[in-house]
Parts: sequence; structure tokens; C-alpha cells
Amino acid sequence: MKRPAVLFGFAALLFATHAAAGLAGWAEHTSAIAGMPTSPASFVLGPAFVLLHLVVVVLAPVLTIAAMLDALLVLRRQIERGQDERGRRGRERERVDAGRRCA
Amino acid sequence: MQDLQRALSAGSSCTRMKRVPLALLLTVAAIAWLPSLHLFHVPDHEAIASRLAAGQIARPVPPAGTMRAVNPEWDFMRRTYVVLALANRALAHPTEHARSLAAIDAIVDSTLTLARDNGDEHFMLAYAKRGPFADPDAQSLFIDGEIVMMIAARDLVEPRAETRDEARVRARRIERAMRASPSLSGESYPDECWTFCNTTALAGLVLLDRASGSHDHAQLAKDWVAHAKTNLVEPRTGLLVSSYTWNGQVLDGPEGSSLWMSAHNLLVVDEDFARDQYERARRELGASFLGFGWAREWPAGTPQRADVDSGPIVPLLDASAGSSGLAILGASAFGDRRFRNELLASLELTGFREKTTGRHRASNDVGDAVVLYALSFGPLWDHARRPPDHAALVDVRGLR
Repeated sequence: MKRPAVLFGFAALLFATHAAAGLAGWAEHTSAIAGMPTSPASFVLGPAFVLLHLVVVVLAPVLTIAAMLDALLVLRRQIERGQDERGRRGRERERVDAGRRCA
Repeated sequence: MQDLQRALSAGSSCTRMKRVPLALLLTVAAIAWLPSLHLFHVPDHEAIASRLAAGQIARPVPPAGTMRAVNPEWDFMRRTYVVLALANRALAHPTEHARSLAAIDAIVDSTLTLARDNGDEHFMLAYAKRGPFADPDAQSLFIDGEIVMMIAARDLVEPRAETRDEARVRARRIERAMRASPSLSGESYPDECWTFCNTTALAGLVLLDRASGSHDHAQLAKDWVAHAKTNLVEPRTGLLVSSYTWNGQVLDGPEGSSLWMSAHNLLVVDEDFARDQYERARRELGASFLGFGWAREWPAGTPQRADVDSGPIVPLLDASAGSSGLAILGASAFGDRRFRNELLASLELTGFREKTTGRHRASNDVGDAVVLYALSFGPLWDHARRPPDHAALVDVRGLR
């Protein structure tokens, strides 16, 4: 389950960074796009927040969906591996029982 | 995809199954997510319009120092769009009628006072003073046209005697300036005529005629359209050019930030020509992808340079903030719901709207005023195109 965790972790990191930038008031700096900077830093923070927002909106859900798909596939593989294991043990037990009956 | 199907359909052999490649997983996830992204950006249009209108009614003339420092025109245009929006809302929402009219009056009075005390240049870019107008008797059609439009819109909702003379004086000035020009157009700046301003002035005159029950300016409107079809249309696209000299020499070709508004204006001047311009603009400038819409400032094949009207232009997409914002108005005016919703989805994605006020952080007051007007559009233009109510006209003309 390592890869799904990495994907989930990366998506969570993007969400957390976006939330932190929002709390820090970066969204207000986006007025620089309309030629109305709130401070000289707006020319950096405004476009940076727009980029970050687009990355979060576009990429983070993709990573999350990919992580869920991956996790489901891994889970399914583990369940089926367990079923295979139980089937193999059952067949071995039957073979042993058959051997005992023959003896 | 085959890998994924193989992975999903693998039965007991799954113990030997390889992991699905990451690139494949990301592709499948992107295919699932991206087409549905716009569904998460469908705002409640009426709620946004109500909040924006409430803000304008509460403070019809807000401080505009920051905006004026960038572009004094925005201060003026904000006033026009707010007046048009509130006039529409006054007609559509009887409960807002009185408050909307009070706000309109405050805006008009403040505008007239500032223009009288400081001159038209108060609302114009610095190059208004670079030299004399080609027509020595003219004043800026940009200012006269929008003031007439504001007063006429107010009068169409409910006549107001105090501003009637002001509108008549400016209307006479517009007609004289347009008739005196070889391009049948008034100058907004010295030797610079704008399609945006001339169509706004014509629409203002039509609204004024409608409010007073006259047809005083119908012939001017007809003549201008005939002249524009022959002389102000770019041959390649069939779109109206945006600016030209007093003599009619083209300065700038078609621009989105001018065209959407011009087509909207022409709806009350010549509906067939207006629809033709909108459809051409939609084809040449409009773009959509995955439920999001945007508009270019310049037609394809023209260098995409950003200026004070276009706002920033997004590379690769050629999306212009100014053109896309005014395209919302165009799409609303021409009933193009799909494109309007796509444009509003883009605005919701990138505008960073404040939930409580409806204002967009990535925009400014004039941008929000355009959005408010676009979302309120309808009743005023419908009213302007309806046959006049004679009882009301008697009152407007002061005959009663």
C-alpha cells in the first residue's frame, strides 16, 4: 500500500498548502491580475495563488482518484491472494488426508 | 486501458499480476475528473447578482482612489454598468425598485458633479490632454454617451425631471459631433473614435428617444449602421474594428473588449446587425473546453498583445480577462446560455469570489459591475424595444 499512500500524501500536501496560502490572505493579492495590487508583493503572490489554486483543483483530485483506484486494486489483489492461499492450504490438507487414508 | 482491464479482470491469477503503471492510473483518474470539474463551478447566478446589487445599493459611490490611479475610465464605466444593472433590477424586482432608483440617482448626480467641477478629463486617461480634438467643438463622446445612457436608463424605469435637460444637451452634442465627422463618429479622445463609445452613445440616444416617445435620433442610428457596414468592418472577419481616427482611418482592428459591448449596444439600434456581430465574435473570439469558456481579445492570426482594455492574456489559451468579462454580457444579451454558463464557470474557477459580498477578488469594481449587469440583463433592453406607453410618455414630456 505504499504507492497509494504516497499519492494520497501528495494530494493532502497540495490541499494543505492551498489552505495555508488562503489563510495567509494570498487570495486578496489576486487583484493584481486586474491591475489593482494590494501591495508590491501582490505581483508575485497573486499569480502564485492562481497557479497553486489551479494545480490543487486540477491535480489534487486526480491524485486522490488515482490513489483510490490503486488502493482498491492492491486490496483486491490481497483478498485474492488470501483466497488463493486458503485454497492452496485446503488442497494440501486434502492431499495429506488422502495419504493418511491410503496408509 | 487494456492494462487496467486486465488488472481488474484478473481472477485467481492475480498473484502473478503486475502493478498498474502509475501513468495509466493518473490518465484514468484525469479522464474521470477533468470533464466533471466544471460541475463543481456552477454558481447560483441570482444569489451572486443579489449580493453584488446589495453592495452597490448600500454604497453607490464607493471610494475609487486605487482604481482611478490605474485607470480613471474604470471609475466612470463602473458607474454606467451599475446604473444599467440597477435599472434592470428595478424593473425586474419591485421590492428593489425604490432602493435601486435612489442608488442610480446618487451615482448620476455624483458623476455630473465631478464632470462639471473637474471636466470630462476627470474620468479619462491622461492622453485626453495630448492635443485638441479634430472637431474643435467636440467633447468626449465616451463621457457624453455613457451619461446619456445612464440618464435614459433611469428615465425608462421612472422619469426624473432633474436630469432631463442635461441629457438633452449632451444628446444634441453627440448628434452634432457624429454628423460633423467624415466617419459619422464622435471622438472619445483627440482624433480617436471608438466603436465601443459610438455604439454606446447610439444606444443611449435610442433609450432617450424611447423614454421621451420621440424618434429624434433614429435616422442618425440608421446612417451610422450603414456607414459602419461599409467602412468600419474588417474584411477578413466581418467584425467591427475597435478604433479609428476622426477621418475614419482604422487604428485598431476588432477587439473583444469593444465588440461584446458594441454588439450588446446594437441590439437596440439594429438587431440584425447586432446578431451578425455577436455570432461572428463568438466564432472568432469565443472558446470553450471541458465546460469552461473564455474569449480572446484579438481574432486568431492577430498578434495577442495585452493592453489596458484586454487585461492580462493567458498564454497558449489567448484568454483575455477584459474580453472574457464582457463576453459574459454579450452571451447574456444574445441569450447564449451555454457560452454564458461556460464563461461564468471560468470566472468561478479563477475569480476567487467572496461568498458574502459576491465580489471577485481577482477582479476590480468595474469587473464586478460588468458581471452584475450581465447577470441582471434583460428588462431594460426589452423595455427599450417595446412600443411606447403613451400615457407614460405624456408624463415624461412634461405635458401633463
